[in-house]
Amino acid sequence: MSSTALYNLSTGGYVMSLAIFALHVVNTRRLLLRFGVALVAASFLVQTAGMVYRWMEAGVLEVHAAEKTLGAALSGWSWFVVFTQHPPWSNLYEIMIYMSWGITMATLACELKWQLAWVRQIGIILALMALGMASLNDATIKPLVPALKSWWIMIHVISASIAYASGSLAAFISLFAIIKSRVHRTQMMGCAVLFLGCLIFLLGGGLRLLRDQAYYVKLLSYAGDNIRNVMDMSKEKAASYLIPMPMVGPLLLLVVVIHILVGVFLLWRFSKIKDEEKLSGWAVIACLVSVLATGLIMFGHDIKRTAILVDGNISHHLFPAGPWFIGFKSHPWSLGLFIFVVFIEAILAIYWYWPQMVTKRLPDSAVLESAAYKAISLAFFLMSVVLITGALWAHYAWGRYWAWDPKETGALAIWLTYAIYLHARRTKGLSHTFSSVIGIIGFFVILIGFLGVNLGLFADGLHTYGNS
Amino acid sequence: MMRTWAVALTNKTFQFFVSLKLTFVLLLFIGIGAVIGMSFDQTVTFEEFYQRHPKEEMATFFLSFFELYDAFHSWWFSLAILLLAMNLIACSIERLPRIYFEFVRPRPYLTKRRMLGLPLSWSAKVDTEEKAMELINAFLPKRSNRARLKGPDGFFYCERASLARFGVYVVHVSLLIVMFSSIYATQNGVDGHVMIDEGTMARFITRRGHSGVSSPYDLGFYIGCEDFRLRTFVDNSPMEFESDLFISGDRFEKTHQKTVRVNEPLKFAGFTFYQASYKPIASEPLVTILVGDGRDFNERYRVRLNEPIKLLDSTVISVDKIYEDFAGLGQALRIKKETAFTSTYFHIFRRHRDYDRVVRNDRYQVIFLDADQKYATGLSVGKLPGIEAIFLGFFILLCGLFMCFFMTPVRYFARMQKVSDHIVVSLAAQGFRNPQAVKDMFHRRIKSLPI
Repeated sequence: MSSTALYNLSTGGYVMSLAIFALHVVNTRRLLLRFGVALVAASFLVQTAGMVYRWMEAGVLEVHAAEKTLGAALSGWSWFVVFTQHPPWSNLYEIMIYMSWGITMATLACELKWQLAWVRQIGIILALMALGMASLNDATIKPLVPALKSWWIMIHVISASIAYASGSLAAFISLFAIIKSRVHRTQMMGCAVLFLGCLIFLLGGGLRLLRDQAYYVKLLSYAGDNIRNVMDMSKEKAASYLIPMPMVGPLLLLVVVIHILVGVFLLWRFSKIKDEEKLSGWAVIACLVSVLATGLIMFGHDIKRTAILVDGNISHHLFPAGPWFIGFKSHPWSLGLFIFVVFIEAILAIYWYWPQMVTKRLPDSAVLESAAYKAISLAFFLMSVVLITGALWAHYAWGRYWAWDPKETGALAIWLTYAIYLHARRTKGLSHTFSSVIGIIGFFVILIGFLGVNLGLFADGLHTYGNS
Repeated sequence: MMRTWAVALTNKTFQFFVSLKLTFVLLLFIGIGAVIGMSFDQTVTFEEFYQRHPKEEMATFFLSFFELYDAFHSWWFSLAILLLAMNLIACSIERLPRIYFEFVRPRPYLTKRRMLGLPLSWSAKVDTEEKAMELINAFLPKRSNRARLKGPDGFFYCERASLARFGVYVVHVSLLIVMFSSIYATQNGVDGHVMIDEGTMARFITRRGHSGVSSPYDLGFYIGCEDFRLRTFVDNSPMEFESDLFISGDRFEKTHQKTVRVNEPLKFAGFTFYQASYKPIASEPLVTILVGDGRDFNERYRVRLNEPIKLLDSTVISVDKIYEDFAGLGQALRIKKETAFTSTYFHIFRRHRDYDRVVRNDRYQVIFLDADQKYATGLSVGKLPGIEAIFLGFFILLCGLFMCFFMTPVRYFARMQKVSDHIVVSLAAQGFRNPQAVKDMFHRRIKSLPI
């Protein structure tokens, strides 16, 4: 038994509960729902046990390493300090596991308090996405670097993860609040598609594409059963050697253009014809298909690249380092973003074709809006704790309470987004729909602030030791 | 005439700054500015930044006009922060008196007119005064920070978490404290870095200035490093590093000594010296070995290569060679052992400390503890006057946020009015935040009434 086995067990539980929730959409028996929620709770407990177990595993490793280095056995308080100094959220793998734990906890809290339809499904999907992201990273426990040997790591990272989890869930509750608040479907779709188009351009590498006239991916080398980044020996860390990926650049721009055209068309149509019956679903499907096609072409290219990189019997090497793995390792940000956009557009498409199915189960928009407000208030409070504890820790460890490091600035951007949300709610003349839109944008700011630095979207900063 | 114009201008300016929409726009601007600043490397100097970015005239103008090499100290970012500070001050000046007077004079009577303005109200007819009192007692919360008030003509009133109404102001005041003390600390503080070789001292540090430009700074005293120790795990990754630092005056007398580690700095004369980094320097390494006979003799030696160690029975040992990795067994030493007649060599391994005792089983066992490459210790030097005020601001901010998000101020009103042969009981509540939660709470209270 190991922590990884417990994590796998909990992942299985989440997948099963998601299947039960999907079944509950067609068969609305209360027992089914209760069983699904109980399964989520049980899987959550298993994951918690896994985290506690991993803490113990890391503790044993730290004690062993310290004893070997010092040449003496530790005992008493010094043993306790070394044993507990390595919490299970000290690298990206553990952080993503911890994120999924936080999201599940927020989903369960939401379920206990409001029993919001769809939010439980979205929560579990987000938790599974976080677990999927975790699986792309190295799961081995390595000794903690000196800078992280501080008690501040406990409160700092705990607050950050719960804040990100509750902010993410709040974004989807806000989306449902907009859906429920009788905003015209065509108008909503137009705005959403325009927003997603801009997002793909800005975060999917559009600016770099215009500057370098090519889409680049990380060059990876094959080593045994693992795919490793090419090492830059002078810096003793993985370096991002980039190679151009043909076709993807123009396709990415095409996707952006399709989104913008569709968005503008839908908004124009809304201004001319306000008849719900005359909706044109092909527009949203075109967006969905364009994003899917570009993602699949990327995968196709990675499969070819795998054939070049992997010697001998390829099928033997497809698991665990399959083409999807190489794809994610070489351009995690773009593919992650694409999958997410597909996920959002799938929700929008479902709403477009079967609006009653989505809205009839949702409570009143005021209830949803209030739930989103509470979740964002919690996220805002915890983000303040993150910024304050981070500043205190940085002051004692580095001598600078604030260094405008990308991760620090990212956390500040999240905090500011939620401050805007809270002020927008109180500003006369701005509707709650407007603040809900900011709540949704908050999710993308979380992605930028939390993952942007780790996945190489921004310059290296003081937090980059958390990357691996 | 002039005075009227001046008053009108002052009023207009004030109205501009008290606007919540201005707050909204400024926060948005700062948020977007933060993301833009994140996209450019802010740790490089002005020259390095220009070398990295395009040389086209427009791009150069854009980068230099918006000072993107130091975005967070640029004119536009500073202006936005300053405007936000003014906005906070103006909003507080405008709204605080109203809230204060509402707090001290809460208008506790639930008149008919008042009831019309309250969205959460409920009325019922009861037969007796006892029954009416029972309802009112069940409705009003048992614990409240304002004493229950029983006014004339059967008015009842109480309030919960009334102080939490000041939460927003506490948050704003704390942000102003943090902003102004940060500006003061940045203007009057020192933020620098110094590398000191083991066994040497330094008086000048490199101070980080505006736009990444560095300049030398005189500490006014010497800071020296007596010894630097790097402890590594078996895979050579750093486990811990520490420096024995000392402070000395112009006469080179040691006045202050401390061992600093990551998270454990040295404080002296307002400066704080943090263990930040290290780098090996080209010099002869020092080796630490432990020599023992398994009984009374157990001595630790720190020697250079080929430096003789004389043992009791005229045996002389010396470190002949250092291997960074000996046949995959990790760091190792070749030791030369000389007696009156013989000269032999043997190996000891850092990772396998019992090797010499078990394998060679000689009178003296040698244990390889450390091969000390000479290092330069990297110290981050900080002098932040007013840091206490910043931390005080943080503490007040947390208190304010707690008041805002975990305390909801609610006022409870009740009225008992005799109408012909029955009594009308009217109940109402007024929340000042979180209307949905207050509404839910009100309906829960009404549902639980003994009626």
